[in-house]
Amino acid sequence: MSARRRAGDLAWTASTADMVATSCGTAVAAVCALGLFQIERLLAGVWSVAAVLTAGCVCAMLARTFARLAAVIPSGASLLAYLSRGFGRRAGVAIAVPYLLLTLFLVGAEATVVGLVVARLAPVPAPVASLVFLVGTWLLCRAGIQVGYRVQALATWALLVGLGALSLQPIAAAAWRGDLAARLLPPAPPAVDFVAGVGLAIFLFMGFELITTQIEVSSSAVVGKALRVSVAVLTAFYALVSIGFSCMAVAPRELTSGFVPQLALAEQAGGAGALALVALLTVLASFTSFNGALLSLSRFAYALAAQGALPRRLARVEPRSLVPRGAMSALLAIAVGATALVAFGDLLMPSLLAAAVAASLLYGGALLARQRPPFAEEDRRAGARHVGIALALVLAGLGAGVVIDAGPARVTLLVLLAAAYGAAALGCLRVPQSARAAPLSLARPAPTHGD
Amino acid sequence: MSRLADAARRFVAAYHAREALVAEQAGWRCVIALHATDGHAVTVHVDGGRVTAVAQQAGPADLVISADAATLEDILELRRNPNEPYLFGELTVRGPERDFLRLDYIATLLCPR
Repeated sequence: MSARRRAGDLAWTASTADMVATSCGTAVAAVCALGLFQIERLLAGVWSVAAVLTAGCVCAMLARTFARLAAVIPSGASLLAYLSRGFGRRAGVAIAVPYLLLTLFLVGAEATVVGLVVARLAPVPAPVASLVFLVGTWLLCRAGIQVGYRVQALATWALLVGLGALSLQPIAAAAWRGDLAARLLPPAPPAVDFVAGVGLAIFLFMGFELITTQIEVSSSAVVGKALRVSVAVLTAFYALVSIGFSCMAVAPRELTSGFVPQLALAEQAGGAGALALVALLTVLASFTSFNGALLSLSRFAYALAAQGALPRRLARVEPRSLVPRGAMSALLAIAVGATALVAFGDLLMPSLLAAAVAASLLYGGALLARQRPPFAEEDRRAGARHVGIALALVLAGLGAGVVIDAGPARVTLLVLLAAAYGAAALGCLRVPQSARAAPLSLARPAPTHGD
Repeated sequence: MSRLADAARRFVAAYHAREALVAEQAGWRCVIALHATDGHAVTVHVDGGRVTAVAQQAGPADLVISADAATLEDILELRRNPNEPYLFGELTVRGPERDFLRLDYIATLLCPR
């Protein structure tokens, strides 16, 4: 943090380094290794790297877009605020809420991976470890304990450097064996596979833009710079790990139950010590992600409940910690349910794919919102506007590509998408369109709130 | 006196009338700037959970709240829950989250909707 104090300024703000670490930490979750592995199965070698680089270029443009949106509306409500201002409240809810719901569902995938990681190292059944992870994180959040920027940064850089370094070992080993070129240059994949691979690669960046929710403790300039830097860092990291997966001595072609790619990488690259280190970093990364998701989504659910869009009892705040405990408990229940569905209903891959589709649609929506008031500049070149609109259509196409190429997961994927967008549509009906309320006397008694 | 300052004083009166709520905020110290994007600014000083001054001017602040004047007046006169304009990007906040959450808590409790 950098401290400063002058007229009109805030007492303190988060720095660019803090924001970059937070952005990368939110994007890099344990399930990202599964996403990378799925891309590897589809494409392999330089084609996987090309998919990551293409997604990186798309996200670099998105970073500029989100920087603009955050500069015009510097709100912690972030995505919902931008889309609502661009398209109206109901459209904002219809686009943003499925993304947030599927993010929560992704917690189920994350907890499942954590359970598998812990079960590999300790005599604990994976579902029990998943449950302990969820409830333990929830208890800390319920007490108002938030992971600080420094802890988040430490966990993020340790994970990026650790996995990045481990990825170098299979690359070096492939070069030593003399099959590096064969590993990196497989036959060209079908176009639809490449499109689906890029769609999945965008999923790897999912969440990088959520630092815009922290603009209240930062500034538009810092958030804009951090968005650009974090996309560059993430692109380099995913490209390196992708090459590492391509060069693994034994590259499993099927994502079998209980397989955790980052542990396989650690086992091949560094043995038991590396395995323990990667397991620790995976759990830490998952903890920081879930901690942040619980705190921010509970505030979001609280605000929606205060509006009447969700049950009012979710709008109760504990006066001491100022934590909306009702909303947080509801989120825990959803997360546990999602984990059970992922673990026992074989929904791991459909949940990842559904998140990828929702991210593509939300990012496309953000690009279109940027072309509209209050975000569009009067003197902006028509060419730039057309590029933004074209990219939004490309993102929608990538989302469709993920659905088309989902294979056996397609039906479950469509059910998940229908549930998320259906819930958002129901929420839309309860969202007030009118911005002005009728006059009310201050003397009118207020109801009692709080736990 | 501007309408915004007048609304802020009425909000403070409503807050001070809730003694239990004020007691809950004991120890809270904060300077809040209300910035109407199309009009005036007001600075509110809070010490020990009680509002000690409402100044009709912009100044150094821990928490800066910006919206159009009509939205700010609606909230200060308890006609609108602050969450609504916040969620939909019509009201923005800058400052430490703990101060923002506390103010949000107070405004939500006072607002009868």
